[in-house]
Amino acid sequence: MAIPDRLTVEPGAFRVRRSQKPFAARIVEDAWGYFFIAPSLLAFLVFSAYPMVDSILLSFHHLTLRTNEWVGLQNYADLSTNADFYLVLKNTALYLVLIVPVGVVLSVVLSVLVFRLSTRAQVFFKSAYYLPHVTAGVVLSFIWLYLYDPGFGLLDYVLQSLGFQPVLWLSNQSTSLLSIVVMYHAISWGGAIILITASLGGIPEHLYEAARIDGASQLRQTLAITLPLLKPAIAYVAITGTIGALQIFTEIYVMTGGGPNYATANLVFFIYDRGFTMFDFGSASAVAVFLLVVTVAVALIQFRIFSSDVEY
Amino acid sequence: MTVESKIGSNFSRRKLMRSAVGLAGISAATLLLQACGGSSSPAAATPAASASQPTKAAVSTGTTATSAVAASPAPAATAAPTGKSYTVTQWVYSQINLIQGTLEPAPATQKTGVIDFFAWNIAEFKKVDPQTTVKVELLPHDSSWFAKLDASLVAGTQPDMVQGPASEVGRYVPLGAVASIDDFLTADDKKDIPAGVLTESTFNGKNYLWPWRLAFGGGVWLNATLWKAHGAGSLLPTNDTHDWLVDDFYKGLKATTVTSGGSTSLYGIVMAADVTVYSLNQFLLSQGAQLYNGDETKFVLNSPEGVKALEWLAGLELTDKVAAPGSAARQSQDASALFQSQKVAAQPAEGMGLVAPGMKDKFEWYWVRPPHLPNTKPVVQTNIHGYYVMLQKDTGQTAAAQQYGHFLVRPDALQVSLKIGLTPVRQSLWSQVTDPNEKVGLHFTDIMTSFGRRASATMINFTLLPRMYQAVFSKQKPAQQALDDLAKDANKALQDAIAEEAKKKSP
Amino acid sequence: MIRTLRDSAPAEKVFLIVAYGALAVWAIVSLFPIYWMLTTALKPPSVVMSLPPEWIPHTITLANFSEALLGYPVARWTLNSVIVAGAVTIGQLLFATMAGYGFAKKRFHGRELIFWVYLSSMMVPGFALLVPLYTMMASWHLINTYVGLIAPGLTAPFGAFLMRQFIQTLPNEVIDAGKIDGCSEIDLFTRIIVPLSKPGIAVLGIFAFVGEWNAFLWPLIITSTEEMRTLVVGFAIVQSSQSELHTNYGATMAASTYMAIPMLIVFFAFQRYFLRGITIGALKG
Repeated sequence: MAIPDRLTVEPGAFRVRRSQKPFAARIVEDAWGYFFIAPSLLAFLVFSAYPMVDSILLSFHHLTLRTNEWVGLQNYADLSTNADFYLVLKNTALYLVLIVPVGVVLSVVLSVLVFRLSTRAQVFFKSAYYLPHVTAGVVLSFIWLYLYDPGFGLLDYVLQSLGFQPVLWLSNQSTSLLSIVVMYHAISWGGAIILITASLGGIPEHLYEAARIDGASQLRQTLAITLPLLKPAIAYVAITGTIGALQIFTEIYVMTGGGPNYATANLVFFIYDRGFTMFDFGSASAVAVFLLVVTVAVALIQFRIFSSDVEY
Repeated sequence: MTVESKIGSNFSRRKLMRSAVGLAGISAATLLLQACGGSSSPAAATPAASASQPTKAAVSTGTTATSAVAASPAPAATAAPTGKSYTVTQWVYSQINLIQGTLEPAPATQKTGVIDFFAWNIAEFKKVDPQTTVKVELLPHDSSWFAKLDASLVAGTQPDMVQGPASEVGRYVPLGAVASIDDFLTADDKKDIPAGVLTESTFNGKNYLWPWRLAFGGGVWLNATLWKAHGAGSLLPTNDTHDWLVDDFYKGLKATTVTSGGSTSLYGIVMAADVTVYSLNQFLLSQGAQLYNGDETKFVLNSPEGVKALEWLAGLELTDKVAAPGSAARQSQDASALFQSQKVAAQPAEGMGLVAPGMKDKFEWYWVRPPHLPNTKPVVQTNIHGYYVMLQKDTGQTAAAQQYGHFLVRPDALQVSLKIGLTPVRQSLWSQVTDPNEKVGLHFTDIMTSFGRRASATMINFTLLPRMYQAVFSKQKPAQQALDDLAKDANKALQDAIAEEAKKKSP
Repeated sequence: MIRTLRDSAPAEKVFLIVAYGALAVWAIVSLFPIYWMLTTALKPPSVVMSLPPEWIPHTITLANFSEALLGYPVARWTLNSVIVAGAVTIGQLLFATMAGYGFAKKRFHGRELIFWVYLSSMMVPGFALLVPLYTMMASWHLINTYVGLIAPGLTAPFGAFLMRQFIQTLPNEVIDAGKIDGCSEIDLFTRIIVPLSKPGIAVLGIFAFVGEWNAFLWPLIITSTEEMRTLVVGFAIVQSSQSELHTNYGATMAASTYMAIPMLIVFFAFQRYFLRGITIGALKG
């Protein structure tokens, strides 16, 4: 099939199936594709790929400070019988479930609400939500440690003045993980809100006009137009949020040090303990590989959920 | 963490880098994996056996010292001139400003006419050995420190000298990365430095640390003003060593816990079950328990004495309510904040010199030994702080670094630590201590015990023990079970470490 | 798309009042840390650590600022941070936009597979890459250089992912129109895609800059002299110890306040590009 004469064809008709294009055209198309991804890919190969492969290889060795031997799947087998591993696995799953769905919904809802305001108000709110990201981590941890302090912190002070018993937020294994989750929510979604509000701006006005003319309510419009067209942005927030949730470390380390007795420790924490304090790098790498596999799996699932070739 | 977490981290401050260390460790290991065929990794290149050779090399290039053991050069002066100039790089984390021309520490607000402690040492050393240039790099002493050190070791760009305590040297000695100081330690040094201190930094019969000062994983700060105000003044120990019994300690805690109408405005003590639990160990050790048996082949904290002491300690928070609640998740700087705000009247403290400027005047700071039972002795774990020398390919460079190390711990330099309230290792300086709290600190050298000498010590001290305390304080386990579980894990780690050591000895 | 409260039905009004109430509460929660940072930086050192904290400072002092900013080579550190964060941002904007376009609109063999492998590098905890990277840099003699500081920041899978998502939403008709008009591939990219992607680019710009500005571990490891340090690394000393004896929170907060300023500048500079989004006026119907 010859390439259409561009002067007599309207847009839309120009789209031909790639499989129907002549071989040469496909090669050219390939080349241009590679061209555009080349710089990033090159950087990736040099600075990420090699160390990643190394880590994977390491998980099949037993490497302490002095020894180094191939042990095949031994590290993985050891993990499967380690009670701590299951504990941190459970915690990691908890973090994931408590953070990502709530966070995505929260970001979208806040973004949609903010987007309806005047320009000035929008600037104010978006700046406010983003501020925790430019505030140093040490500030955030100091504040939240104070909030949760069981003897003298603000939250318990409020509770006590209302007549309740103070709660040992961080020292109690039943509330510690939740406390960290709450803190995480309070400081993490500014970037997502920025992104989603930016995407909201990309939705053409005429779609809403058409819907309004048809008599659709605000809610209907949101559900039928806004959300579907936000899918790419939401996908991004969900996937990067997932990666973030699976890899939380700082907040845990600063607030509870993984305690009490690993009640708040997750897989990343486990990796740290095995690698650093136990000097068992092979085992630590095995956990890292496990985490990688889990993350990829969850991300793939989310990608399927959110995928939509929104071409219009 | 959100989007930026891979582009960079916005929570990226000191403590967060613990994770970085663990995984930097992993990646360090991957490269050791590559290098296990030989070549540039220090583990392969410099077996510990050659640690004594640098001195021979340095000496053989033309000095007049007769024997290879340059064991008694006068402080740095004669051993150095080898005709070759070296650049020694040093990593430090201490930042002390001296008033120029004196040994006096400068007040925090003074910015002119001051010189940094290490800059001063370097200038003085230049006078003694003009051939050697010393470059110093100031870094935060947190886990990012180890990430950087590990990375540099793998890449072969490690510094010559590293500031650190004996517990950290123990991490690098098994790697074969550290040079022994035995050949540079003079007889005078050995007389001046307490034997216990030298033993602490000895691994496999060789000494690896230039000792500077002592750090005590024990001792308790008391707010004497509050104690006196609440009628407990008479309970305070007044003897030289501030030695006293558990009974009196407990009575004081009770007196300084003020509860009215269901809420407590003042607690007797605050405890933190984070990585600083050595400040809690002291209570168990002083009530008859021990961490290890004689030759450190067995972990024995779960003895009946240990269980009883742990129950007593946990009871302070859980039943007696004299300890601020939340020890299980409390971090040590939070504990300090509470003590400094006078919300609690006692804090098990890391050691001397921890008082911020301006705080000393707020109330009377009173430092005491951990209390003991009538039939037991007080014990505190002790760490030695100093400088250790990393092996380089150029043995002459290592020798130059050793000279500098020796220079750094000369009496003059140690005088400075005296003046900022830290206990120097040299006994000859102890007579100059006047502050009564610091004097008490000096007497701690009689009740020292080690943090543990084997490779398993790090894990036991900083992971297993904290988790045990956390489990008990958060009521996840009763004391006996927590200690038994701990002993199981600790003994396993100990056995692994001993097995590794045995492997190393055999060819 | 903007509807004022007046235009809403009564049921909606209630909902909106509640919703905006929540918005305001969340804003307060978010603003509080920076308020805290500022006020603590202005408090005299002796009251900084007191409990309960002084919510409104009784006395204000600039001592913390002078200690943090005058006692150290802050000007040089600032320059370094600007150079490094700026270069990484520009690099990422270029690389990621190109890659995002490639993954979103271009079709080529192995596109999805390559994309996922590339993305998976985000899914390994980043620090695993640290030491091999350092060793690589050491062998190329890039320790303590700007190149060493900047280069690893250019991989940016997050950026490529973000731009891909964004560019995906651009209508194909615009590209097709460009092709019909005779645009070359490069022209298509620079004259059509990039302008339309301004909001996405602006967002990425902010994320990249803030992320790199706050980067700590890599700059710490790759630099070995004080002159090459970035602000974050330099101030880590201020925070970690004053004569290794105690933490100087007041000065730390002052330093943090200072460091927040450039990020705020960048934020406000970029945010106008995505404030109202874009209207695709180029298309009809």
